[in-house]
Amino acid sequence: MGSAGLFGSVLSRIRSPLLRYVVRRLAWSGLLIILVIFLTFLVFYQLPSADPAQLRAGRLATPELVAEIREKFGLDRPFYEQFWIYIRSVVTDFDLGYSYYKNLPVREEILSRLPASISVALGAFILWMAIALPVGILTALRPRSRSDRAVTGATLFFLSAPTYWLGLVMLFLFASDIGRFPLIGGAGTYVPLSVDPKAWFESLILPWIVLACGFAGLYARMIGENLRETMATDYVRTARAKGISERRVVIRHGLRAALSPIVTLAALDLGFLLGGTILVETVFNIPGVGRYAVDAIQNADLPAIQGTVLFGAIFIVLAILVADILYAVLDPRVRY
Amino acid sequence: MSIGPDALVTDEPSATGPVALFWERMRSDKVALVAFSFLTVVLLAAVFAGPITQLVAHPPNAQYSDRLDPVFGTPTGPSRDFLFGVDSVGSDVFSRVLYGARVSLIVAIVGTGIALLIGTTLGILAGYYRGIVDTVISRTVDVMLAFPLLLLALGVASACSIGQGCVGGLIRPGLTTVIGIIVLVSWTYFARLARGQVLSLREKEFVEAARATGAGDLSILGREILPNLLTPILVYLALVIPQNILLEAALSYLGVGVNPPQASWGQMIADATPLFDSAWWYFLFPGIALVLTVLAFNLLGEAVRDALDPHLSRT
Amino acid sequence: MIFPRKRHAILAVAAMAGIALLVASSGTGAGEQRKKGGTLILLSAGDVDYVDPGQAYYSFSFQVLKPVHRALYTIPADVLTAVPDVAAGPPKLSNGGKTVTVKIRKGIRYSPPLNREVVAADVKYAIERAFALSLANSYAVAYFGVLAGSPAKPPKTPKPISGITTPDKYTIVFKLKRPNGAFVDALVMPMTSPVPKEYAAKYDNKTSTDYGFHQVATGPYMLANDSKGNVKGVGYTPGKLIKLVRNPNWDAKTDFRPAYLDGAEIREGFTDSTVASRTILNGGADFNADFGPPPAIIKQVLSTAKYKDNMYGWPLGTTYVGLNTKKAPFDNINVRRAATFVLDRNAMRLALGGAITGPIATHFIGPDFSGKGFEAAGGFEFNPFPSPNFTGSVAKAKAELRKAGYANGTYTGPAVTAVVSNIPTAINQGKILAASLAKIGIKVNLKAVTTDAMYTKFCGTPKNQPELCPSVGWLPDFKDPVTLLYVTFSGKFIPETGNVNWPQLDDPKITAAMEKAQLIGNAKARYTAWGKIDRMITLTAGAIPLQWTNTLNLVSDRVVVAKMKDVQGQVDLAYTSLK
Repeated sequence: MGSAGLFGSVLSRIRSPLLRYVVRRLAWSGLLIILVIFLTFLVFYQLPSADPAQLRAGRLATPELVAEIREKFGLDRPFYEQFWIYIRSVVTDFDLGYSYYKNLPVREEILSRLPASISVALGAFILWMAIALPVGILTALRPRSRSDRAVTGATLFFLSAPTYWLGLVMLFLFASDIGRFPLIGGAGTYVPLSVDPKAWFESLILPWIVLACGFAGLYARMIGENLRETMATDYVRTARAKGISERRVVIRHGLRAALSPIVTLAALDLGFLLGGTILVETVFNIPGVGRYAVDAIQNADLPAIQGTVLFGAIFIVLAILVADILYAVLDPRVRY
Repeated sequence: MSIGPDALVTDEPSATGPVALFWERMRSDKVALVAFSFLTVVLLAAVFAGPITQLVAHPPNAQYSDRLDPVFGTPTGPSRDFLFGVDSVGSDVFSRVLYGARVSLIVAIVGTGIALLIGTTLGILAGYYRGIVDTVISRTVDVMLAFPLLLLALGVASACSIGQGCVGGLIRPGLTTVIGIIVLVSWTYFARLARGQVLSLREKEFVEAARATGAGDLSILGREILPNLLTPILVYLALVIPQNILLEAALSYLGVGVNPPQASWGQMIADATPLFDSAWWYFLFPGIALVLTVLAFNLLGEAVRDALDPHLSRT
Repeated sequence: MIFPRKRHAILAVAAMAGIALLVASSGTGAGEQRKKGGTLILLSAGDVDYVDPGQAYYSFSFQVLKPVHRALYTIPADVLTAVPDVAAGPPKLSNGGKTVTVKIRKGIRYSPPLNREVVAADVKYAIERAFALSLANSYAVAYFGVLAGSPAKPPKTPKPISGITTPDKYTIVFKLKRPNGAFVDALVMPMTSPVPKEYAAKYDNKTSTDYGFHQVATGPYMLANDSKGNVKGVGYTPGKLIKLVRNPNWDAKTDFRPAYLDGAEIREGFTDSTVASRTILNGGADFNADFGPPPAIIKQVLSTAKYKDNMYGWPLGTTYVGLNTKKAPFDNINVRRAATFVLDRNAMRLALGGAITGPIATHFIGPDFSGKGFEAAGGFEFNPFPSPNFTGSVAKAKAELRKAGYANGTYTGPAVTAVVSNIPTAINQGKILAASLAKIGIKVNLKAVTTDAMYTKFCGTPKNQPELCPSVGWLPDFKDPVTLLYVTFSGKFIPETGNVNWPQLDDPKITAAMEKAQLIGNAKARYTAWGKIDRMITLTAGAIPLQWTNTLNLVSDRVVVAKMKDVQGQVDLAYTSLK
């Protein structure tokens, strides 16, 4: 891909190999996004067998109204023309179309719900990393111990449990209104951070725990392994031989090298995190993007689903791009 | 074990071969045995759901409204003849859990199986022939992997449940849609795996040798490459199946899975959600069934991986 | 109006015989301590259909708009009789009932940014605009088509109607094509709320009006707007929030409403009705605007002492299962009768929450029409398809099938489809229906779609209609049985889209009887005639009556209730207060 012709000549002008790598990755990500847009459009254009004009007309679908909608939204134009209009509006205005429900712009609907989803996902990430780091270091220093196997076991259990079911169990036990041991906020208690930070925090504790459960163990294991491997490598041994204290060895050299694969993995797991967020938002009634997607699906609101899928995909592509570049920067052993 | 000279011999190809070695390791792994037995039980329960429910329980779709609270219509819990209680229309939860096993297993096994076939074939083609074939297939895989899986699955499921379904009515809402989606999101794993394996294998000496003797592509693929693919593919299979069970359950939970009144664990949990604080049996038992089945597959997968190549296992 | 309230209900125009000269009291709650001030919080699953009084169609929209837009006549809270609102007094009929003259009250002013006084020409424009395509109002022709000069084909934009004249600033005269008692009753509809032409015309002349997003109010409350009059994003964010605030130009001296509250907030998007119900019970919100409490919540409320004052019912309307009489096998009356015999109606009711949700219906006119046709239709006694405790009778069903030609009383034809709403209770009812019909060999394929799609794509479009539509029902527009039975069972009303005669019943004897009944002047005789018609409809088994519904309203502890008795007992925002 790409090292020939115009692109190649541009590339060869750039001196630094890192920069060349970044430019190559950027170009690939750009192409990927275009392909993603194409595939999304294809799926939602070709697959459904219902007439989109009729679906958009909704309740009073008189033939005149349907015809007017068909004309207004260009639904009678050929495939490539519709695709061109679509991709142009996505790329230039990031316009993700209009929902069947009251013709609301999908982009605004997603952006207004983004803070809630970010609260859920980011908070869970912080929680599971906060657990995984110390646990991972511990298991690295004490391999094959009982705690290592316990972590593996618990991880597998939580990874095998459906997120929404765990959520129900949590609510059943700990929700303040209906739980057997009422502790904290239950479903439907979410308020935005700007409105009431304390209530916001309380309403998110259970969702964070549910999301973090499986990931914590997984990352603990990964961190542990990578750390163990790196600890045994040459340059760590050299550092030790130089007389640097064990603590500094672990932190400086070992951890840094161990973390870089984690960075990449975090980006790849994003897809699962997004999926988990959808389920958590549903069970805990959090008005985020995931909930929006689920409601759109219940209402067969195709443009909203399409917009959300596209949004998620673009987000993942960008995240992988960032992760790849970070990885290249962090770990000098990466060949680019 | 004796401490004779043979004890010092390591890594010598045994006369019985790698397959027997694999089984030996599996047999000694206690956890794997437990997981395997559990899965056998689940399989038997699914297959014999009919006779079992006839003997000790009730038909899964029969409604026993006398088991509902006569004033409010809310379901009652476990009792002697309804082991797991009833659901909101009075159906036997125990029976529905058994029949739900069918849906989970069929969807996961058939779906993953088809994904395996398609993905492996494409991966092999990409890895072996390289060039334009490889580019097209690999880029498609990359694009697919850019999508958030659950979201894509939900989107496709939803698009296929309005009107007459998709692909000209071939994929209608319900079981076929779910299987189709599983295929759609899982084939990429197998494709990538197969491609990677083929890429490394095709440079190996025995392939070169085969080519030197004038063997055709198909024979090389069949004789040299495929057998070596089997191991990693099997490992992947054992890990992807539980993921797909969870995916089907998630789709059913969100309402785009199988059609009612067909029993599906995910759908039962969804039905149970409005009542979960009072009708605990209704969400607990299907959930436990899901967790244990997926866990068993995961444990088995780990054991298979350990047994096939101990060097891969975590120390 | 269409059931259930959760999604579709045309606004109610409950008026008893004529409009009485009543000065409305400020409602009930004599013993309650009423506090002035505070903001009521309502939760809804979906959105209003429109905020424009000339377009609004759902009973949810009516609850929101009634305190904002004063109509010519209005039904105050807790009563069922209309009083003059924008009108200064009762209407004067002359010319054999073909001319209706109404005097307008002086001193009513529009909210900012318009501020001017309301005049008769504004009422004229309000009615004219409702006929235009840019508004797509659904009931203008039905109730106001009798106006002389009203358009036969809807104009693209509002056009004057010659039959409405305003001889002076405060008088409006309606000339009708023929005398029509229902016309005067219809003057309570929101489309008679005055709309200023010079301000609204620029919005109404677009392809699809957006006056609603720039509206001005005449009632004690208004949708919050900015200084330019824009409502969108301020007082109404579609799908999310509606904010009602006090109308600074409202003069209490020109009105009878107490308007205790400072305003109301309608929060939308609460699709999980269990969680939303619990929020109301725990005081996080005050009222359920467009959904009903699910069975588990009903049970919790009725079994917990502290919740006993948080829920009240309001009986109105009938639910039923529509059998497609134009499609096999339900084109055969014996098969229909078999289905009616075998359906376990007790289980159907249990799926909604049990007896509190209303008595099981044996015909269509319910006890909410007591004295107005319920007894004439047979009351609780007329039960032509009896079974022990309404659980269904397989034996009698099989007997009917034998009459239909199925040898051993079991259906042997192809499977049928039932389209239900994708709400959990509706799906459960679908499952119960399927299980009942399976007992006589009819296999039912269940299809769960959104309530919207169920009504518009499937059950409301005859050519797409499945054999069974189990989630349908009807709320009467006003307390005369004609509004319950006419458009729903007359062969005259089976349009290509938006059909509400779900059985597609087309029985010439019944249709003729309905036409005759409408001409009967004497009320009692009219109710008797409709009672007979109800019996005839029930015997055709075109629809299986399910329940005479009791709509359940949830309120939080701090609400002093004032009910909209003409609709589903919702709190009337202009009369309700906090404790």
